[in-house]
Amino acid sequence: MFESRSGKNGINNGTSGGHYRHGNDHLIELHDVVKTYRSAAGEFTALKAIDLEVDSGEFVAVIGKSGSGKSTLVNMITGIDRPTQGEILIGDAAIQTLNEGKLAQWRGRNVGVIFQFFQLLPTLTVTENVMLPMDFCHMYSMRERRQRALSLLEQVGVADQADKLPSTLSGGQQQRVAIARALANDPPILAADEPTGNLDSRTAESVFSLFETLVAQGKTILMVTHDRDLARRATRTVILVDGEIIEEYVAKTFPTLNEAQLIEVTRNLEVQKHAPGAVILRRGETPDRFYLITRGRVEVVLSGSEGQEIVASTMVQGQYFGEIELRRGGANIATIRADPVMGVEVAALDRATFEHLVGESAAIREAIDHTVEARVAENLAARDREENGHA
Amino acid sequence: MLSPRWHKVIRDIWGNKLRTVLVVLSIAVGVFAVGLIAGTRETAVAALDASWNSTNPASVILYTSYLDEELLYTVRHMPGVGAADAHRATYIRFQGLDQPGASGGNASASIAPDETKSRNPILYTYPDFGSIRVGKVWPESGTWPPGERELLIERASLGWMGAQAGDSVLLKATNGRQRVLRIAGTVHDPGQMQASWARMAIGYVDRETLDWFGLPRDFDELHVIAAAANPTRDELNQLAEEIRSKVEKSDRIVGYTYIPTPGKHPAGETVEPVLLVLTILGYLALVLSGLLVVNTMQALLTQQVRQMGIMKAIGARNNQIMGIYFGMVLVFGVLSLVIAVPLGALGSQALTQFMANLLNFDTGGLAVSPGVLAMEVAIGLAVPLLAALYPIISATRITPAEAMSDLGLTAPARAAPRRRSRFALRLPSRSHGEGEGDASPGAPRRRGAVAGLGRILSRPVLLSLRNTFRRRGRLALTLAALLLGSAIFIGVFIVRDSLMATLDGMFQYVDYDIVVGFQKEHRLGQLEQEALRVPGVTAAEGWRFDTGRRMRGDDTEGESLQIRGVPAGSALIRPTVTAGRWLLPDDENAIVVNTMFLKDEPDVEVGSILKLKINGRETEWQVVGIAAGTPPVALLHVNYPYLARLMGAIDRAGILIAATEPRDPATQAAAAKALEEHFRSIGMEVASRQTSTEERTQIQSQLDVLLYFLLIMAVILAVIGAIGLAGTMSLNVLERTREIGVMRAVGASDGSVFRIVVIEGLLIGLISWFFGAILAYPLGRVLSDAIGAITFRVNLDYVYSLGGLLLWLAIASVLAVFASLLPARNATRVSVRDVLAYE
Repeated sequence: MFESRSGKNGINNGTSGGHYRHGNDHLIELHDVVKTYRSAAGEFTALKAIDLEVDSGEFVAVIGKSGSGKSTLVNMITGIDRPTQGEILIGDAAIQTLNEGKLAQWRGRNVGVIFQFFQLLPTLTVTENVMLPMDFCHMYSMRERRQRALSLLEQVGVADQADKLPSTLSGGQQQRVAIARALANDPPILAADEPTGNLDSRTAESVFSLFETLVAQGKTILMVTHDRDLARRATRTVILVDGEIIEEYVAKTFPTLNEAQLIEVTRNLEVQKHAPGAVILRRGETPDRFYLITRGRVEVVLSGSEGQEIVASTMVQGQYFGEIELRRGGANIATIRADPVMGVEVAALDRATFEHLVGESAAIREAIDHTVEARVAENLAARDREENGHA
Repeated sequence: MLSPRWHKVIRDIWGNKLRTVLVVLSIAVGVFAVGLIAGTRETAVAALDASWNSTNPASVILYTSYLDEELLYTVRHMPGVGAADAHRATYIRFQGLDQPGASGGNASASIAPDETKSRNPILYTYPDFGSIRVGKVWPESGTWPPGERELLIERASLGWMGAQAGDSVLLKATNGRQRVLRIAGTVHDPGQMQASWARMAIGYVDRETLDWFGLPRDFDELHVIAAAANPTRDELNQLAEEIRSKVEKSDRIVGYTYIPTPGKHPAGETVEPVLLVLTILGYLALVLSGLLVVNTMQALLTQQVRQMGIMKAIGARNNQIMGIYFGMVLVFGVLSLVIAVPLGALGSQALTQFMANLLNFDTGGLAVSPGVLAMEVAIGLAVPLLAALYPIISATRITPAEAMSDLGLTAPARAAPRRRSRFALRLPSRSHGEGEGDASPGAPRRRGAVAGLGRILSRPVLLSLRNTFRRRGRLALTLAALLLGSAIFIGVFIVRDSLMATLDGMFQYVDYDIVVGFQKEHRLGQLEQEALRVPGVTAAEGWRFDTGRRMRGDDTEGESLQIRGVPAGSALIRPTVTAGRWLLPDDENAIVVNTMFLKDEPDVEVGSILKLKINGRETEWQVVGIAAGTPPVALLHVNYPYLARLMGAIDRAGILIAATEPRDPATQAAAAKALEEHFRSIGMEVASRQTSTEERTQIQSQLDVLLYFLLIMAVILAVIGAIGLAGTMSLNVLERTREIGVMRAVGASDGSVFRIVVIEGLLIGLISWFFGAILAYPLGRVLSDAIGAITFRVNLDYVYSLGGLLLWLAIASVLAVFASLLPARNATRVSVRDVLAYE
């Protein structure tokens, strides 16, 4: 539900595939973002060289332990706080370059912020709270503001509370009002910090469902949470550990790794983007990397007895390859290439780190060996099937 | 339709009524103080001058003798004279009210003379009451003009004499004749001050009535208005000189010449500097109120910082947020004007009326002049805006992340943002330990000191002690307001005590108890011998009081001077000689001048030759000494025998100075009465008598008026201080809601919580008292010098007022406790549940 905006700091519709003003391909791009706080107690780096890309329409859950930097990350994206270093590109805006006034205006029009404790202004009625961002950003006429506020309250299911003061509402109702307020200027992005953290599970569920509806309508949502169950329902999860983003699929692939190991692995990952049909591993060559698919798909191509290509299987994001040869030794038994239509983004781990990881953790070793066994068997079966079919 | 942000402004103002009341009162009290004084200054001075000018006041007054219609006619036709009139002032003694039914005539036996009060009137007589050309009076009630054997009384003198129109009064002339006159009506003479202040009643009689008393019927004051529209002082001096010359050519003596400031009431010269001092105090009050507004706005904004963060997070720009809070401040300003403008108008009307009663002028009704209103509006809006400027800019410059530093959306608490705006407000700490936020370098030492006190004081008292110093910025502003209030309050008492000390110094000269004036001069030896026969009288001396003028080298003449011929070795005066020496028995033309004389004649010093015209005769004197500590008028002392010889009255005197034993007022009054009776019994008629206590009371009562004004300002400042303290305590309690809840959770009773707050308030009160007492020392000196210059034209004898110090200690303690009661009550209403539900 993006609408095209012509404002200087507005966000153009990125779904058309065009580049944004600052050359970013994604709606949200963070490059090398560092946030360091200094106090009498010394320096504290909350975010360490973060890179992140979020596309329009994504529902991103940001998870991590308390103090991991997830709120700081969302603050960077909303412009509530500024990075110590790095670049934050959101739509057409490089928000670290905006002054406070422009940033506030940009935020008011482009990002709806939702807080854990709702943070409605206590002396304004529910409707007035929703009208306030429109007032500040000079959006809509005076008459339309009230109409729109009532319509948003209707949308979030609290229209009957319109003229009450926030203090008379339940927590769930207040959060719905806060969501209506966040939607007041129809921003393409919603940023929510623990929006369900202060709600009972039933109310939390209904608020989450509301988010899902909004995503379905085209909104991009970033939601900080520590509820892994809710996070799972997002389209994507960003895991923060000690100020660093852990590759989501590393965590999923190696669920037994501790935080230090996750960080080490993530640091040693090399992100590679491959065009549709590009070969990543060629059969017969000796591999030196372990690959995790982070976006897109790959095809596993075997060579038939007559030299024909056999697409043994397709692997999707979250799956990995290259482990068979690294574990068993020898050359690649299959060619892995990027999906001919959508291409692929992979995270590659060098052999030394992979072997160190496998050598350190018996559980990982067992899990990978088990996968190796299964894949070898699967590949053989596929080739047999293909050749029998030919015959 | 109002936008939501303005709804927020209105609801924030309405929703926190206590805070609103405090802010509005803080502003209002400053506006009130300035409006009160500026309004009074404008209306009173204008009304005073208007009233004065309505009388056709004289440009020049010559005090002469044997003035008749013929001379008056001549003067009226002199070039440069616009108008001229003759008056006669007759000093007469008020013997008491006649009983009802008594008719005019000779002394009635039914009169009971009131001997305890000297309320003697001056009776004025004009050539033609029907057409007074200069120094007009206005009939108010009863008969006009006064008929034969009738008395008209100046309206402000009636009450002073305890009489009413229609009463009959017994009057005694200096020739001893007593007559009963009916008060046939009242008049208003704007040129005369309130009788109780001037301690002199004013009456009006015709020339036939003077004949009836056997008193001279010729005039003795020549009141002249210059023909020129706006004559300069030099032109008036020249005119006076020409008239004087004309009068003296007719063999009359001009006693002295008085040239008042044109268009200005004679009292204006005293009133305006007093109002100026009050204006300065008024602006000080405004500064104090500004400090309170800074304090309250800072606290208000601290409480709103989070909301500012939220507003920024949803798109508000700094200028929009500033607009909201400046809008709020403007509403506070307007509300304060609604209170302060009418109160200021009422106050200035009351003060003007008070002055009008004292100085006997008429005032208009309740009115606010456009100038004063404009000033009040400017102050009422500008002061809070200025006071709030820094807090608002500081608060709005905080980034949203800083503003919401304890919310979910921001950085972890362990890492407070460093990139804080240079203007950043000091946000309240969110921890709740006793020593919270006290990480400054001196903190360990302070903690050590407090730990030491912990062995003496209870924990709640210790907590109060620590709480007092927790918000040091706020404490500093509150203390600044209270401290100035304290200093000025004590300063006013310093002025009072210094005035009294100065008066004491002046009366130290006076070692006599009674001054008796005789209708004619008598032999010195007889006067002294007869006086000593009167019981209670222990010493008596015969003196001469003559009047003269200095004849300066440039042919101009100085003001009228009193020349006292005293015995060189007089035991009844104790002058303080600051230069040269006192009179010696063999001195002839030696003269001792006092410091007041030197104010007008600064070129005179010891050794100077002084030319004086005494009773029309030119004389030459050598200044041998300068005396200080005399009554606050220009006084010249010469050797009695020489002066008597010069005046052709060897060994004769018209003034008797006597001392009594004991020296209390009752003995003095009794002895004075006994002296008069004794002298009358031997045929020596007394024209006047005054005790030194009466003389002092007369001066003191005039000073009291000034002190009342100062006290009004001191009270206003005390009120400002109390409001400030109440505000601070309320804000402290408000900010410590959670802490109070936690204390209650761990068992603090209502009493403990109440005591903690009240003791904190009391501590602030005591600190302000202590430092105010120190600051009062220099401030009191500045005030004393200013008031001294207005009253006695000298720096006062500075005395630090211990009475004022102790009185303010009591008042400050009571105010501090009262200011803390409401906040303390609010504190006891905090429940644990409220606190746990917080956020």
